[in-house]
Amino acid sequence: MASAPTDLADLATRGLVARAASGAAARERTLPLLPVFADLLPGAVVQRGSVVACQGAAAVSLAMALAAGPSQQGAWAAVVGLPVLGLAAAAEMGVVLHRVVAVVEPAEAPCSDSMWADLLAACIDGFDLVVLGPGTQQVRPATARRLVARLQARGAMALTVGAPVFGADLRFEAVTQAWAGLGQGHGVAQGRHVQVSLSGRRVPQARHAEWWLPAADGTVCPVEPATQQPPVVVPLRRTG
Amino acid sequence: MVATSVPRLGVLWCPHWPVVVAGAQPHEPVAVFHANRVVAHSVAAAADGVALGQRRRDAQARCPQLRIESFDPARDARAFDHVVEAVAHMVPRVEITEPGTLTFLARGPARYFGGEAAMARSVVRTAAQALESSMGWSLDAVGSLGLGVADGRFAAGIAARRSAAQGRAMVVPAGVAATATFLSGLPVQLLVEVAGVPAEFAHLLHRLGLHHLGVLAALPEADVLARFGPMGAFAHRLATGGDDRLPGTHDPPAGMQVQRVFEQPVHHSDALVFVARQLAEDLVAALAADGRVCTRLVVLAETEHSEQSERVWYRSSGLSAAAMVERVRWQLDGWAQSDALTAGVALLRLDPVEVRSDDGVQLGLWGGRTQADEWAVRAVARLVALAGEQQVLVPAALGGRQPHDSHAWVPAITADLAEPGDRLAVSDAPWPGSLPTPSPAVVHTPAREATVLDPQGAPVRVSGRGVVSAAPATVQVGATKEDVQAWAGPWPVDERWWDAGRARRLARFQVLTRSGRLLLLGVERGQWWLAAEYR
Repeated sequence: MASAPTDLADLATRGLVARAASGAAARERTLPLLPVFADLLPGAVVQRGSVVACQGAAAVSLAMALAAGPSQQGAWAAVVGLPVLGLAAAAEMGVVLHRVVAVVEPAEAPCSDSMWADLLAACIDGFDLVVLGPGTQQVRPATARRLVARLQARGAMALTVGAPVFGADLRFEAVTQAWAGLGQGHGVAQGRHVQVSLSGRRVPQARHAEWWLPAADGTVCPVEPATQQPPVVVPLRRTG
Repeated sequence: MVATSVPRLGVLWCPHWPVVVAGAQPHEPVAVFHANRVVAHSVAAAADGVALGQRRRDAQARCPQLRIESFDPARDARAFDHVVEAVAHMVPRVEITEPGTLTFLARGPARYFGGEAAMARSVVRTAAQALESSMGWSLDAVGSLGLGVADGRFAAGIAARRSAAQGRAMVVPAGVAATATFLSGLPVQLLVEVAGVPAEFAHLLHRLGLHHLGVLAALPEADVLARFGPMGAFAHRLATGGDDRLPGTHDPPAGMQVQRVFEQPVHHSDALVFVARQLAEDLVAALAADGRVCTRLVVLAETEHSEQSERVWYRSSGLSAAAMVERVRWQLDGWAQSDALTAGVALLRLDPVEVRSDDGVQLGLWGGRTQADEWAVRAVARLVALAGEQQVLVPAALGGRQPHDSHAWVPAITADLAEPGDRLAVSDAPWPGSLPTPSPAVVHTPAREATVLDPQGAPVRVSGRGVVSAAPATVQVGATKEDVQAWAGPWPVDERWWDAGRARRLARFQVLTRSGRLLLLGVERGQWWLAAEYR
């Protein structure tokens, strides 16, 4: 009598029940991104175990946009070495904040290489998404390789912002950026028009897309070719 | 039916306890707010029309001179410890339901004091004296302490509330029939206030014309169960004066307690709370393996000089690990402030004394808690062990006008990871003057010093009336100096002008540099700061 529920619990633990429910085993090996990424990646998914580098002037916004998709699907994100992350912007981009955990380096006692290895290994084991900021750049290349191997075994995804030591399977880069809405002493920033390029090992030819990153409401959305204007303008707010 | 199954209980209830802790003076209108709603108010505020559940703006409209305090359960619990301490000298096994309410077994003390009425009077007197003498707080602002003695938690709780209104202790005669008679004329709304029944259920009873508990009690039990389900049967049992414990409540098997003995006595409450968290998680996991949840918990801490702090905590909906840790923290804080401590803590023990079958939340297959949540909670515990409590942080929503005010990172150990609840609840406060979306992707805490110059090379200033001396031409942060391409502002903020220590008066600018970087700058008393970047 005791065996049946244990078996069921065991099945659920390994995610088999959830997998059967989703009906697509292949989907288990990928993480879903926001639909807007379909411009660059077929199906808007990333293979688990990938290291995705965000570069260029819009790197932090790109990382948030990449994290938003998995986060909305229930993935937890660890943010390491990026204490300046703007939480309000992340929430607007679609990141579910209650599934975000940050690890910061104590200011008075910088972490040693083995300390970083332990911390990052714990993050990789526990979270589907690990955002690696400039703070993790001090990790030695050999340690970084070991961590990437662990990442692939565990099936998590790493997003790097200013941490090239971890290499990259995919590189997102904002090639050009232009802010809209700001004048000489008037207006307010209402969105940034970026041209994003994707390159990488499994991408034979660089692909390009034009987005509002962020748009006026803080989300990411494709640029409508006809207007070239931010799609939503919401300067009016209900006030006290 | 004999009343032996229902214990004879005394309930001491302080109306609007958070207001007492806020130090309300007699005739002073005070209200305590949580998530923009009134959770407690003084008598003077009620006279002006302030009511529980009211929004802040409505409350202020009714009573402009209202003093507003924010809700802090930890502070309330710490303060309530004085009362618990005093009452615990008179009656054994005092059980804290929530800050402001305590319950004790009445039969023994009543015999000792020569009758329930006499006991009730001395308990009230002791509690009131403890309040006046130790903290100098006055109960006049909220009325008086209530003490009710009756069969069962529900009837005793109601008796305590009525006693507070009447100003003298109230004893309901023993027996099911007497309890039912006492309850019969009372509104069904009390089910929500005292027994924690969902408000929708009470509304449903109202809509069906069942306005009083007596009317509900008069219905056949089987029909109530058929129409309203287990919740209805529970309410019916309460209304008829029956056993008010939830079904499936029983004493736990022996040996469920968890404890930790410290070889090196611990002096820091943070370290103790960290251990308590591990103990609580072990205990909850052990109970959950049997499908049970703890409703009454004894927390015992002992120093190496054998000073003890023992408290009984009760929560009808069951104590989660986070709720247990919270209570341990309250208890330790209360103990630490009582000056009774002369040594470090050598023993911490959590002992579940009442458990019931868990009808609560199951891990969701679709939605609800998932495996990822479980893994993440475990990973956070591991990270805390590796890096320390202050190094592992989770976001919390605060609300504010500046980018660094609206959200903050708080230590993960203080948060209930499984339940975002209040931590990320965005209040519907509008924060007039906050910047419109999109928000900056990089927020500097603390802000970095900056220099902003006009075309002539003189610093740009903003007058008291919000007029800019000249258009900004260059921005320098650290060593990088950049030309300004476009800019907007100033957007002035004048925050907390009523509080000299925390008042801020600044003007904000968005500045786009020639290289395409968009910066959020602030100028305060002539000094420019880089607050955030749109990266």
